Amino acid sequence: MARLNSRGIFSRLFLVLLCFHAGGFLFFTVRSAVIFRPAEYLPIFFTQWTLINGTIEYVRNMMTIQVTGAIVFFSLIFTSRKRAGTLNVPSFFHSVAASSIVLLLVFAFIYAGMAEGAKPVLLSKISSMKDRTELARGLLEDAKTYKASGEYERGMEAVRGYLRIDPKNEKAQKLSRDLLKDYSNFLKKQTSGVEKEERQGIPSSGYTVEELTARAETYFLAEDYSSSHYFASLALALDPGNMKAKAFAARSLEKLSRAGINREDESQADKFYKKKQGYDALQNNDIVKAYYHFTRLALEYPEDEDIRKYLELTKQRLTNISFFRDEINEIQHLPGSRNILFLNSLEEGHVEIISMGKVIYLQEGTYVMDIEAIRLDRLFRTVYHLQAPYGKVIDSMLNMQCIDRNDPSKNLLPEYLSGSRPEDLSHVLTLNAVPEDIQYLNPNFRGLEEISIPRLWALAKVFESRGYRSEPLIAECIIRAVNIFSFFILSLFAVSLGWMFRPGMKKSPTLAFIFIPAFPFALHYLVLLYNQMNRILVSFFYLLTGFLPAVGILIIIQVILAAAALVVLAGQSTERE
Amino acid sequence: MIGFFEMKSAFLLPLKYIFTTAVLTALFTLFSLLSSWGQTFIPGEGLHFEGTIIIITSVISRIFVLSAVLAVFLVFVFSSRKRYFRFPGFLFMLGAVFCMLLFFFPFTAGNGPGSSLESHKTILTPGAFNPVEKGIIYITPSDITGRNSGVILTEGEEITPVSGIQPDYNRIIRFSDGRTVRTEKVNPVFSPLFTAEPFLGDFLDDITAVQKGLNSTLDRSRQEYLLFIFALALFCAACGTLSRISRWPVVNFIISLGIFRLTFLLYRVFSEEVGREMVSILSNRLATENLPYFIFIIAAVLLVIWDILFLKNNWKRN
Repeated sequence: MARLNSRGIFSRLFLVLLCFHAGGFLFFTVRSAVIFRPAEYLPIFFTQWTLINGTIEYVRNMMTIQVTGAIVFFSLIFTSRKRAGTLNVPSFFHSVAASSIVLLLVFAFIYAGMAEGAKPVLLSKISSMKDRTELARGLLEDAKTYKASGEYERGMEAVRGYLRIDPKNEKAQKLSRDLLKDYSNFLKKQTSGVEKEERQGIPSSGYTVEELTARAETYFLAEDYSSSHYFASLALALDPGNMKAKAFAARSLEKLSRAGINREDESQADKFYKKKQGYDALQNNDIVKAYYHFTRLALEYPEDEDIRKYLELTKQRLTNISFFRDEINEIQHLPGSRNILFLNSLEEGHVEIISMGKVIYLQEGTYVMDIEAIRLDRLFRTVYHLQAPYGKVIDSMLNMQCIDRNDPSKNLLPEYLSGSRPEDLSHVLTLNAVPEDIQYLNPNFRGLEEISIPRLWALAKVFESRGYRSEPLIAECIIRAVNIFSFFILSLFAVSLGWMFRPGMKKSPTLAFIFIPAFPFALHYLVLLYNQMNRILVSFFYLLTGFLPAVGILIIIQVILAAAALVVLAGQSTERE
Repeated sequence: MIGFFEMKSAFLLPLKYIFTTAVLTALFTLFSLLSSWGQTFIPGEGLHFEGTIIIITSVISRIFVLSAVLAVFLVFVFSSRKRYFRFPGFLFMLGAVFCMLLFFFPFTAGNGPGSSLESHKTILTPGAFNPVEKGIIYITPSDITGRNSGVILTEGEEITPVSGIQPDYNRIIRFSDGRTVRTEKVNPVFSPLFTAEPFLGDFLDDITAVQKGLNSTLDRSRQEYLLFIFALALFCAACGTLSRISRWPVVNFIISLGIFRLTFLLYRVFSEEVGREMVSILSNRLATENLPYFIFIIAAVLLVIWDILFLKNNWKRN
């Protein structure tokens, strides 16, 4: 008689659990495919999202799947043997089940790896897909806007950005082609206009030869010889034989060459003076002023080496103290963290709080929007209170000096609602939190699941110093550790429950098999209830006693629960019904 | 002798039921209290155990219906292997559930506002950003400024420094400049730790709907309340059929769990969603308000008929 021994149970249990887990994974993957929302994710992410989300959901529900598999296996295994004609209820059930405990432990380790290793990584990938979708859709909208406003180059840049994320999108490809076509038409139109002007030798405003000659004369009488020469040349271009125009051109040129030497000296002196002004501004650390000065000079004297050199130097120094508005225009639609709020400093009784509407993290730097900062002294009087539309984190400093490339009147600086600070520091704040941590500093942040245990642990210290309580993070770490124990303990209870509810031995309950797919839905409530109770215990004891005592208490509780599960398992009847 | 043991088993059913209900009530009450204490925890002040006796009835009233209904299913499932006379067993269980809801629910119900731990306490965590009803408030740790000061951040408004923070009553805090802020019912910093997952949360909402339904019926009309608890008790007692519906007890267990879940969903759907639709169609208040009870009664009758017609040795012994 072929008795069903420990090894037989082990291999069959392994196969059954494997089937259940594979079924669970398949179910959640198919479900993910059904619930995929193109409004939130680009269709190109469908396969990737489906697989990743399916895996995440599977990991979230691994406990229920395991419990279902164990219950079904242990309630049916001996029935099937009976059907085969070899009645084999082992005389010591617990000794057979004991071999399964090893397998259940292995599954618990796999669960730990999946829940704490794979899940946070996969969740961050889902977030990244959402961000990229938002970015791509923003770029496509920008491209359409640029096309409508005739900014074809910028439009093409935006659509190229979109196509880097979603290269096969037909609409984007068509838009790219349209933009290219429009741009080439635009270029052609421009070129033909210039050619026409060059060919005709007249400005597009269209003067007659007589009008041009009259203007040349007027300017000549007003001693503006260069303008006189210009209009006389235009008249000659239209009518090379015009004697009057020829005369004005020759006389103007003569006057200009006579005045040439003096003018050059004056121009050199003027240039030197202007360069010195810019240099002085640079020396006095008035970088913004120096920048605008050298930018103007570079336009005025494009050939001057010194000016070019100082402009470059100024730009370099400018990147350390400010940023350009066009940088913001280009990135403000990118995804980022919102509603950031943190205690920046709490020293000597002074309280400094910073609020940020949106933070965007890029390789070239961290950009911040809608900034508000307040500093209060020991007596809670306002030291300063400022608001700024934009900022950029530069070397742990939040710089709020947003400047226009050409027009200083369009610069955006912090507005002081009350109080003040030294002028040289008025647009910067020293940040005591690094950009990588800032994204979590939101009073309504609920994304702890995305963060791995070591990162949670490290963040707890950051939270404590930035006006947040660390307890939710530490408690989350303990809850996750307890979940691994729960996985194993619930599996043991499932074995007992399955065995307890095994069918009578006369017939196999074939018809009842159709109910198996419904098992996980009902059992999920029990699993959730058990986990919720654990969650309450962990959180309560942690808040009441602190970390170490809570961990001690929870270890004792888990050991008791595991022992109870083993006792229940060992206590199951081996009698046939 | 067989008849004696079967009668004894049937008689033991209500006793097991009462015991199970008591155990479940105690267990759920304990966890509800732990959750309530945790959710109102203020660092540095420890847990507030005072007033526990007052709130305990409120907590019990919230979970009593859950315990009373769950106990029926558990008793039936775990007694499915016992031999007992079905009909006496059914009647005993019907009586037990009916009496439990008739005598114990009114005892726990009707606790007015103020009996709940979360309802009136002003909860603010010093040294942390506290989400309040319309914004966020930061209170400095008392050792920093030596006085109750902080800042308020209301959406769309500037950050406002405030001082002289005085907890008022009914979750309101008042500042020296006369401004007031209403705090959350629970500590917003710690309450997420105790919040159930949405899947379980929906179920808890359905239980609350049944509890509220019982409460309002009790306040409205004694006869209606009796009809409600009779319908619920009849449905629960009839669910004994489910524990024998197939030869595979696991399936019976799962079906019982599913029906247990559906009981609460059924009530909420018929009392709230379908009920509202019916009011507009039937324009008969009595018919629409009593709809859930009739649904329970009809379902119970169907289960009994199923038992009589299709289950072996019906109404005699298992």
